[in-house]
Amino acid sequence: MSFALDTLLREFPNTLMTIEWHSPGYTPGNSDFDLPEVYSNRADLYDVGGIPHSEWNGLQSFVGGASNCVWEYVYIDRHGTYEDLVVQESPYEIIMQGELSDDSETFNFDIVVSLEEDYGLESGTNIELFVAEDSIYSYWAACGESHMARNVGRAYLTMGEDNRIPLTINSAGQSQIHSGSFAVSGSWNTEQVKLIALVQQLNDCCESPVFQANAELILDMPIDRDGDGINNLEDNCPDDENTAQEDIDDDQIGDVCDPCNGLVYVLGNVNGDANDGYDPIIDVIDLLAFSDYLDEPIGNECQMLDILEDGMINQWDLLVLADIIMSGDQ
Amino acid sequence: MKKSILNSSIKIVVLSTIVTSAYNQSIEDHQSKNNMNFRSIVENASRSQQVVWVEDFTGLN
Repeated sequence: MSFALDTLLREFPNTLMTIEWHSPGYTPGNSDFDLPEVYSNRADLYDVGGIPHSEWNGLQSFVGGASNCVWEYVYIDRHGTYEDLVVQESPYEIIMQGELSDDSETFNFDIVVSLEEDYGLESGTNIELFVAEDSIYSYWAACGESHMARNVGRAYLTMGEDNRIPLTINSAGQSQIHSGSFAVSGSWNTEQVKLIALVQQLNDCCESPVFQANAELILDMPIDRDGDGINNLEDNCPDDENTAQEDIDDDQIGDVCDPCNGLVYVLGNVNGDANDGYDPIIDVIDLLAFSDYLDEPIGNECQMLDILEDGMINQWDLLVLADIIMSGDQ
Repeated sequence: MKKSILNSSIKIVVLSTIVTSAYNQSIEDHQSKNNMNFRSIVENASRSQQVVWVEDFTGLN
């Protein structure tokens, strides 16, 4: 299984994330891979008995490895599993940022989980945090050869009731921030240490689905992603350089990354189109888009459809928009 | 911004008559395409791809 997962990780580095927990009974005594309490905790969650056991999105279990270490056929099977799961969508997004302390002994981080749409919160949904070390050259006795152990679990930061981080957000646009830290062992290769975050429903009785995951090397986790001198959490556009933080509509989203900045979605520009100079275009296509909206009111928060500014959006607004377009008064 | 509703109504009726008679099918196609694009944008904007997450219980022996 390890070889198959390694191959898949190389193939899909951005959409597949893993952690491996080592069974104390199947790992040599001189290895520091064992975390008996953590192993027990996570294994109990999925009713893990024998190994190898892989758990996919907290929902699908596969038990058993490659006979005679011929792993290629396992790779083909699990490739199919990956293909089945990767098409799924999630309402959650996880962003991480952090910084290694000057003495390199502590990593301080912030986890931001945000919701892109209203989503009924499942009871028992938590932010789960792990630390893993990637690419540890190890001897695998069962196959009589060495390999790169991928994403070996080093810590389970949210293990136990006292450390749980219950998720509380359920509406579009909401986000939840958790700040924390962990000790970085001197025996780890810091360049390969990852922080991993999940949104997962923890159930004692049954399945524990994972709704989203993210993992990043701690040294690749800049505190100021766009390099504009303003830390991500304080930056009104963390991925777009905007030192001046211009925010014309004062909605805390900077103009350079705000689709609703009042520059494109102006009154009458129903479909939000613009020319090469980012000037809004108001034409007959907007009439058609408005007509569609009246038939089926699916829109976005940026649209300004109340042309008459009477608190209602209806055919009268459409008529006035038609007049505006015909008169060229836009 | 606020114009005469009557004036607007007359203009839109004239416009509708001309457009409907000459370009009815074209507009329907355009509306349909526009509607689909619009719906697609809204739906795609609201969700992210879910990362596939695997926990591998294993050993070195």
